[in-house]
Amino acid sequence: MRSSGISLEVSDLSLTLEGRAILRGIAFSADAGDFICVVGRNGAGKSTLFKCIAGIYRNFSGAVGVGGRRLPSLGERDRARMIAYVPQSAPSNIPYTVREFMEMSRYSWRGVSSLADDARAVSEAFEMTDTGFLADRRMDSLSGGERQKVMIASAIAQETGIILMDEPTSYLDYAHQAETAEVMARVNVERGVTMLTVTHDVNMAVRLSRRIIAFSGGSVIWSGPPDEILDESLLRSIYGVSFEWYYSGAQCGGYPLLAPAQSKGVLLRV
Amino acid sequence: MKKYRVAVFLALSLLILILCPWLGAQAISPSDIWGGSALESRIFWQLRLPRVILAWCAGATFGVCGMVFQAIFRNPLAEPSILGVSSGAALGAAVAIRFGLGMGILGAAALQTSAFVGAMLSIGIISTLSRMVKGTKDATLLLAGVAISSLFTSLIMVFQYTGGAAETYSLLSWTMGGISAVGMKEGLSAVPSLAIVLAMALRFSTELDLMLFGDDIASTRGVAIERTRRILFIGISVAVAIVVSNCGPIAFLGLIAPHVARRIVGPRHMALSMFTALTGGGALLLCDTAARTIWAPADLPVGIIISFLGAPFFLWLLFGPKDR
Repeated sequence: MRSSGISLEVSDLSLTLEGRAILRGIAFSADAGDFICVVGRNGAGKSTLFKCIAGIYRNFSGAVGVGGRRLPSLGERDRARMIAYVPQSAPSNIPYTVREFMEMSRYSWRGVSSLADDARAVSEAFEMTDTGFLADRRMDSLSGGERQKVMIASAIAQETGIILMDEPTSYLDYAHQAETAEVMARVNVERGVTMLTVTHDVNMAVRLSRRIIAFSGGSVIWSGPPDEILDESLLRSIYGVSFEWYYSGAQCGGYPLLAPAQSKGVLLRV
Repeated sequence: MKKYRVAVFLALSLLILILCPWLGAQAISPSDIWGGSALESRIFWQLRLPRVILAWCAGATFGVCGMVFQAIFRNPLAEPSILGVSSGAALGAAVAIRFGLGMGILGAAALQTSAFVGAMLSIGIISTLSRMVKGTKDATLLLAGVAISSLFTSLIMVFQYTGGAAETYSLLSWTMGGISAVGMKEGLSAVPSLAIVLAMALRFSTELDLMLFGDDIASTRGVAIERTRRILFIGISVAVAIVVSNCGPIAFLGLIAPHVARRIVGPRHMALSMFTALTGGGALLLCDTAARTIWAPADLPVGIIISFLGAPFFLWLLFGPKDR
């Protein structure tokens, strides 16, 4: 049993934590099967937004609609069958094996899907993420990159219609970044899962997503198709730095590669 | 290797249960209890066996409570007595004893209700604090528990100091932790507490497994964190209240039993709950058997033996050879 892509609708979402307004009137929607990247600077509220949608923060005002149902009225298990969440970092001291963790991630389907279905979901997730060779390793023996891939695999095994990933590639080396991007694209295309990803990396956002939402100071300051974000003054207003543009033609899918312009003081080797 | 360990462990647990009723100041042989001399038969059925059952159930309860706390608070040092829950229950029971509520027909019920209120008070304080200090060091929670525990213990001492001689003696020997049972009714008094915590631990074993990852991952996998935690807290308070009002606050078992069991069956809470119960039950039964045998006919408070053996054993667990 598996959810197919689910639509998401966020309207007028605000959240105040310890007297500080973290999110102010966020509104956007994602169609079933969409791929949205949320970009912005540190502390802009991207991760907090994901935690609201994932059900971790529940004291927000406004509304989150998931496949036509309102979030607070959904029970935890119903929600976990619709939305999976990959945190920015996972605890490193977990004593279970990777396979045990994958099986636990089927918790919300308990009593709904058969054991055979659970086994199939786990083995498909292993296959999609190429992590089957880690199955019998203990979680606390994994490297940071391996652990991140297992977290993504477990979200896939959860077989939800929406997957939220909070900076899935930030701790990964280049090879793992590329693999992870490919996994996200495959899950989106082959299963029709609605993907939402937080990232700093505007290059990845441009190549991967169908739509980009830019955050600043707890509000959405821009949203649109990926190629429209390639505007110097827009990028500067999002990131607070200017970018240098490198055109490399077909191998980058026709998109330019952006790198933040170095201020003179940064380059130590002159 | 692991299968071998499990087999040895199960054999030992069974052996302790079978042997302990026969050990003690008065030698009793199997032939005595069936129509043998009336005295030996009475000792066995009215004193020995009830006490064995009470010790085992109380130990198993403390062990499983410790295991649940360690998972909920994600802290390997959490357990009812360190977090002040046992002393909360003890304070509740002491209030009942001091003001004479523990007497009469409703005595046992009043004692346990009062102990339950005390245990819930401690858990309420601890869980509120742990929510407030979320993200700070684990040590904060334990230190808060130590503070609550010593506050409640000092209040118990006030009762001990201001009470009459008889009350003071009964309070004092009871706070040292001791197993005593006269008759089968008292012997079975800790069975409900064990049934409650074990049923809960088994029912919520996957939830406990997932809670080890922290709230974010557990809740996004579908665990109703708040509800699960509330149910477990209430169940533990009831169980600790029952056991503490019968046997006094016995420290260390809740800490040691889960750690020993983890070495034998691993960290999954389904098997771990059962093996923790076996470890806690076996350990307390063994110590209680020693308590009533070593200085026979004198009867040492078992809490003293548990602490005496438990402390070095725990240090060995912490600093001894590690194997995975």
